[in-house]
Amino acid sequence: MDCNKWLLFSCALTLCSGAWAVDSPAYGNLATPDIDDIEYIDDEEPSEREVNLGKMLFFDNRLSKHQNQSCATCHNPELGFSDGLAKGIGSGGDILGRNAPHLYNLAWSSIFFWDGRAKSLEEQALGPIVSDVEMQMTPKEALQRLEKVAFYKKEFKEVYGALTFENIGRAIAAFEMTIISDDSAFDKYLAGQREAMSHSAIRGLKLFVGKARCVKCHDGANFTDDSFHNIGIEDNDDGRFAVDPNSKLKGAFKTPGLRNIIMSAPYMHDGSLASLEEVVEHYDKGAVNVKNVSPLIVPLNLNPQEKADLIAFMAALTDPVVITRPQLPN
Amino acid sequence: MKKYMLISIGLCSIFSAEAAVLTGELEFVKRPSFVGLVYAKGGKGPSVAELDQSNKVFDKKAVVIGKNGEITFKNSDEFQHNIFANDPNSGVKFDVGLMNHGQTTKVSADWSENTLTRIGCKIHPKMRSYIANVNSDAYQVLPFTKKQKVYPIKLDVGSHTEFVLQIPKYDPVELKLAKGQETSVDVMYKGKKRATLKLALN
Repeated sequence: MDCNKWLLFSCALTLCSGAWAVDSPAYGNLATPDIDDIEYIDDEEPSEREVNLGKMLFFDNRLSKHQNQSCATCHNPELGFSDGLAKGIGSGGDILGRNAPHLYNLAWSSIFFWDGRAKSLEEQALGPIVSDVEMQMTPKEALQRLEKVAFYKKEFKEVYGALTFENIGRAIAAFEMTIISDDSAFDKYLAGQREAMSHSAIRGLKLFVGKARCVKCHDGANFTDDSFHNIGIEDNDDGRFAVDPNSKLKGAFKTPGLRNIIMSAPYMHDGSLASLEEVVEHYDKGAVNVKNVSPLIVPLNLNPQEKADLIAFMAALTDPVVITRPQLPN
Repeated sequence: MKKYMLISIGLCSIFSAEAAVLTGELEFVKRPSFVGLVYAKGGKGPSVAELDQSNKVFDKKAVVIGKNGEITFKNSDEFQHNIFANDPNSGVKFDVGLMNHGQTTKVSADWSENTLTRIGCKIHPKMRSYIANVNSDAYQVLPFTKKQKVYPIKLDVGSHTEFVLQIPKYDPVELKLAKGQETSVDVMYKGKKRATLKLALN
């Protein structure tokens, strides 16, 4: 090879590496969720039998006062484990206070509900059952209902030793921990399949970690910091402040994870934004002059193409979890 | 001069006769826990320790401090943090309040010795670390990861012969070893064997 050929070869290499660098932005903590990072209760993965028991309970209307609702009513697998409504409806017909959040990848979460009032998935799973506006049961009523079902009596005894209210929460949580989404176009892209995401989604990723500042809160493998922020949605809900009376938390709500987010409209704690387009518009404006808004929320000055790219990236976080509804015991 | 040399050789041989090294390993049966601490009983423990925060994580899985020692918490993160403890196992409660970037704050470890206290951030619930308050000058922190089951232990323990392994929520392991002796014990959590601790004192 003569000198000119070497020069050409090295120029080509330089160009290639430059192109690769453009396509490889710093993703921060964004990653594919790692099963090994799940903190199981007692450090033990739930058994298949426990998961199946939890799945039955998750879909069983017997856990609501009027036997007209199950967990799956508000967390419908066919609606992105949400309900498509701005605010849910309780067993007695009451309009609930907040939007039903999706349930994807809660196995990695450390705090639950929009205001973080539950510290475990087991505790969270029991909350709506005994809420006086949601499923409107008492622990005693829930146990009485399930004790009448031979299957439940047997399964609880053999899986946990006894049918208790706490064990109902354990079983439902065991099922919910299996709702895992980890093979989206973004995950394939991270694994080296550069064609897995469209050019628009790749540009959206760069905006997500850069100019659009999304990653300030939506970071980590599940696109949430599990923290609480007032993002400037104006209503009378104190959010996290009601649980932790720190003035900085007034109107702050838990950052939702973004995996499969395109499937669980409407958005925000009050369901006030109907689409991801509206969500991006909200953040682009920056909630200027809204009381108690987080300093992380500032105007972004995104152009229409950048807004479309951000949505394309969020769409690339889609990996649906298909759940077959179980045959419930008599 | 010769006398000094003889004295120093004598001192060295006394120390080498007494100085011992604790070696061994901790092997988990399944998934490892978060962090562990092996220490020799006896001593004062460190009088100062430092724990920093960046990228929404603590820079150490555990810090070791002696009775009434002072822990300095730093915030090198671009985000605000609020370190607190409310650990029913150790009975320790404190809340340092909101810390901005670059801020430091100090806490005196004036609670019971030989405790492991979980600390976290009120704003970022995923953050966790532990404060090990121990009367010991010979200790080893074992930061566990989910993918590694075996952890080597090597600790200069001087003349100490009593040792403790602490892992949050697990039953603590306490054992006594004579020089030249080795042992293997089960490490238990809620009545189940979770790991094997093998130690030798030489």
